[in-house]
Amino acid sequence: MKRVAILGANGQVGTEVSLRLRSVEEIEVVPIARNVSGSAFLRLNGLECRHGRISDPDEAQDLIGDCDVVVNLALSNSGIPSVDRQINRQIVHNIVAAPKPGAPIIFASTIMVYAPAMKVWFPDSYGLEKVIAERMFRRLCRASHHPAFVFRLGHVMGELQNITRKICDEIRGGTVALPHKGLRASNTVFTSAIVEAIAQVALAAPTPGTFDLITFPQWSWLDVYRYYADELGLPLQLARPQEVQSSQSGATSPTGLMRHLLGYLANHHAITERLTFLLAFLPRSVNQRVYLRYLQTRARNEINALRQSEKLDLCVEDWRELSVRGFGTMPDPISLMKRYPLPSSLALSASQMPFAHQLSSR
Amino acid sequence: MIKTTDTPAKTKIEPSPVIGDRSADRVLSVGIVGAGEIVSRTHLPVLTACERVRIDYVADKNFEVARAVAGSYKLPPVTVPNDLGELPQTDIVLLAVPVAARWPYYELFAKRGTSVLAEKPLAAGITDAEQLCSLYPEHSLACGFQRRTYASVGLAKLLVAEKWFGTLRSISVSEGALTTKTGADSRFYDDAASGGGVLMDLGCHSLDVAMYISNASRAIPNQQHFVYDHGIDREVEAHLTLLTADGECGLDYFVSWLQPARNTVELHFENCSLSLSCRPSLEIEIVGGRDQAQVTNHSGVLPMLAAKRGGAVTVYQAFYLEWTTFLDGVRARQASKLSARSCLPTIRAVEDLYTAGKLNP
Repeated sequence: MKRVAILGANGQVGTEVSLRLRSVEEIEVVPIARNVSGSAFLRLNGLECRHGRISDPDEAQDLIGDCDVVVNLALSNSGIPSVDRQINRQIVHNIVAAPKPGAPIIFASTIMVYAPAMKVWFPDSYGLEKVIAERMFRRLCRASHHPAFVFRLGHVMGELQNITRKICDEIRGGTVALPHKGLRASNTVFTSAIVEAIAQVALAAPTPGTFDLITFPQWSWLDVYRYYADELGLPLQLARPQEVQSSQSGATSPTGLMRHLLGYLANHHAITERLTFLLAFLPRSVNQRVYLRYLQTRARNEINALRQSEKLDLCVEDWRELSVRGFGTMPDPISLMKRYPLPSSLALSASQMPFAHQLSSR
Repeated sequence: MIKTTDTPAKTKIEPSPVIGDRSADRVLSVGIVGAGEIVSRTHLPVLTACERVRIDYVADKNFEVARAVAGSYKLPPVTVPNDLGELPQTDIVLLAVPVAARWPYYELFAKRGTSVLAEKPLAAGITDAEQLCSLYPEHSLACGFQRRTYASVGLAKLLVAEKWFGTLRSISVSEGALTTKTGADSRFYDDAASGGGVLMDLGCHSLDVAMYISNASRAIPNQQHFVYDHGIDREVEAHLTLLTADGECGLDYFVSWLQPARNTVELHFENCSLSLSCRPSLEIEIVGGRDQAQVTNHSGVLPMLAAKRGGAVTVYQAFYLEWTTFLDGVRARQASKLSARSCLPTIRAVEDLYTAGKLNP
């Protein structure tokens, strides 16, 4: 029996991973949270939890010193960058220092290190912090001879994940708008795949490294929405392209640029006032033309706003497709979700969230 | 009632069908007759942003005016010819000339099967308006009561029709401001026959909103007080009874160019009142409780209803929806919510109020 510590077990991903990992016979799950309030849900669902601060070196030893595998899903997120950076580095330091010698350690990172929302590699602060933390983690593991696994998680899907709730609400609510008709890769991973990867690390001792935990072959957003529609027993209604908000700026043509310039001026009173003074030196016909062109721009902007307001927002971000550096061979998500089930009381069904269901069934 | 004796003699014309391509996606050609402020500053900026529309000409009696306005939008200017039949043929015409001069145009376009969007007032009185409606299929003639497209007005009409707050008991309209600035079209405001006068120019819109929301078929004046100046009504205060499908509904009505007003339309139900701005908006304020004003003041809470989408929140959006609603109706050969026939109760109400005001100001 392998004892697997889940740090940050009270988080969204940690909670669901802990509950699903329980179904692996050869693994004893040790969820760890800072306090009993955080662990209440897990304990009420039958999991024994440990409590303490992994950022404290002494407490860390007590929390994970007897574990065979350590999975770090803990993350300081106080909103104060310098505080978070300091605590997250302490966490990385302690998850490497506290476990017994040679214990594999899994560090949960994110696909945000690839800046998938950008056309060029320029991660946001979360992604950059993770990049730095990954490097620190690998360096410390090398020095202390711990097998180091970095899992860069995609959008995590699962019954207890907010994104899944949102997707289910959208399916219940009617028409769903997806970028590129939903055919672009979703960069998603299911909690069961994370459980499978942890189980493989604990039981099969694979080669350490840095991996993208994204469903492979990739599921498109359409696959994801279809999966949940099936789970809910509801039809999936996709919006037609013309019903979906366009993200195009329209600034590519000279007319578009002129419109943007006039639109900019319309919003900058100080500049407009000064240009008006100069305009008065020009002939009346020019004045009238400029004024009417200004009104035309204003009307166009307001009408575009109306057109967009009548369209559906995209349900998901239109991000780049990532090429996956996968973690070994894994069964498809549907099989994995069945292999590592949640307690039946937490399973997804159309009758969950009764208020939303009543509204949609009216 | 405004004099109509100056209008040319009318001939009986049978309604003609719309000619040409009838597909739902077809591009419609539009001619514009009248190049005044409302056309250059409002209709043209909006029409040039509409899809599946081609503006063929801008016509005015004064060619220089037509050229200045049309040139600003790179459109062909046209002088209105003495023989109106020389005006180019189009699918649609925007008619924005003074009401007294409109009848020959109405006759010509009805004969041609051209659909017409007429700036309000549609006609000088209810008799003319009814006769006019008989010349056109219902989808082919519309009047510019564009406040019907406001998001808040659409929401108010829905909640009254579906009785969300029970039966509508009464309506209060208060609109106006101390208006000394008459803008570029100053002559227009001094000429009642052109549609000047606070009731015909401004008040007819809020009166139409009240009738549209309540789905009233008739407004009967009970009491009224008109302030006239140089023959033009500058302020009107009246109490009317609206006849609706649910019975009678009182309407307290105030419109003024002489003093500030609340600029709201209030809908009164048994246990609450709703207030919507006379300007385009998404929102409707709710005032509840038995003593409605007191409850609001004590709690400091002012609940609101908001339309999520589906209506105008700016004037340009209102005109855009006016146009698209009308154009869609023409393409589908279905009457829009701005059809001239649907405006007849409001036109009658304005005339009845003027008549009552003349008899007993």
